[in-house]
Amino acid sequence: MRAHGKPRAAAGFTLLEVLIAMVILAMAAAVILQHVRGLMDYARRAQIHYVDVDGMLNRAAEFGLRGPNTFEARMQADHIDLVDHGASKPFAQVFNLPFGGALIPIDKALSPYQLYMLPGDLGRSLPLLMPGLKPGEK
Amino acid sequence: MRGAPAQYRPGGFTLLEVLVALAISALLIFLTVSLYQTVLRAGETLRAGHRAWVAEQFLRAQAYESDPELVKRFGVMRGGIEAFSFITRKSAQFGDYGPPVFVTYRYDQATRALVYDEVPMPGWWNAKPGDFHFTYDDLRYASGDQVWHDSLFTDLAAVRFSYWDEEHDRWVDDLNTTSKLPAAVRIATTGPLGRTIVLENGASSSSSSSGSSPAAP
Repeated sequence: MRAHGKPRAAAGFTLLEVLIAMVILAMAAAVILQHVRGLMDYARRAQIHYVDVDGMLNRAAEFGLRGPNTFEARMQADHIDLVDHGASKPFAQVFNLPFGGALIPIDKALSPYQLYMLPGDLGRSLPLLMPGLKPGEK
Repeated sequence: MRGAPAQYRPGGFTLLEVLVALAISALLIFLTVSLYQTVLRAGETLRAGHRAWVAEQFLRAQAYESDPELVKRFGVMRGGIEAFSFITRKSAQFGDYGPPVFVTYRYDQATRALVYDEVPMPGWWNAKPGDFHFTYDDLRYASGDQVWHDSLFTDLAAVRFSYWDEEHDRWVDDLNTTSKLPAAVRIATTGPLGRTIVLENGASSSSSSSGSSPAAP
């Protein structure tokens, strides 16, 4: 018999009620955490993007500092690979060259504008459009 | 009488009930605080990455807009392994169209940050030649409302400045001149958001790309 005939609700919560409340709270927390995880993933991807673009901008800034004898120029079918001595991957590729069957030395290329592609580590590349050298200039 | 004490129970909780309630409350509080801290950390991570990117772009633009004429005229540029000072036309206070400013990037060991100081150049143009004098120390240690101070990158273990030596085609730790801007400045930082930034001097790059020297291969 209930003491003094008190209604059931006044006696407190049952275990089932407490468990249901906790499950609801846990689900709400899980939804929030899922969104937070999405934000963290976005931040990580953005950070990788920043680092990659940062590296390409550094390469672009260092590009003009290179002397003519600090790398090799390797002719390809439609472009030229510029490769550091001893390296296998090109640090830049040159397009828009006047191919006429002759191998033109890279420092004598006569294109009005040459498109340099500076590759990033994640497969992206940074284009640099630079004027070609005039004949006889070194 | 055996049944008598039970008649006084409804007014209170047993010790077990109180302990269980406390445990559940503590668990809920712990979960809520953890969730709050996680959200804060996520927000801070987002903000920190973006701030670093904006600061980096500002540094690149500022170095590109450095003023070789004023640097040459006043000889107040300094470059060492922990700091770099020069004159530029891009200001944190006035943007691109204000007065030229004298800026210093330096590593502050106390705050583990790459800090930035900026002070507008004194109005030398109003003075007669020879009447207006100021030194590097006047600008570097200036005080007042117009001095701008900020932290660009924080939580850095170390910062190292180096400068491109055009004569020897290599990076050096110290500038041996106070009046000629280097073609490029490299800032290498180490830490959670550590990165290397190569700052290009716009005046140098524009002269090289005009075809006067084989800067591009």
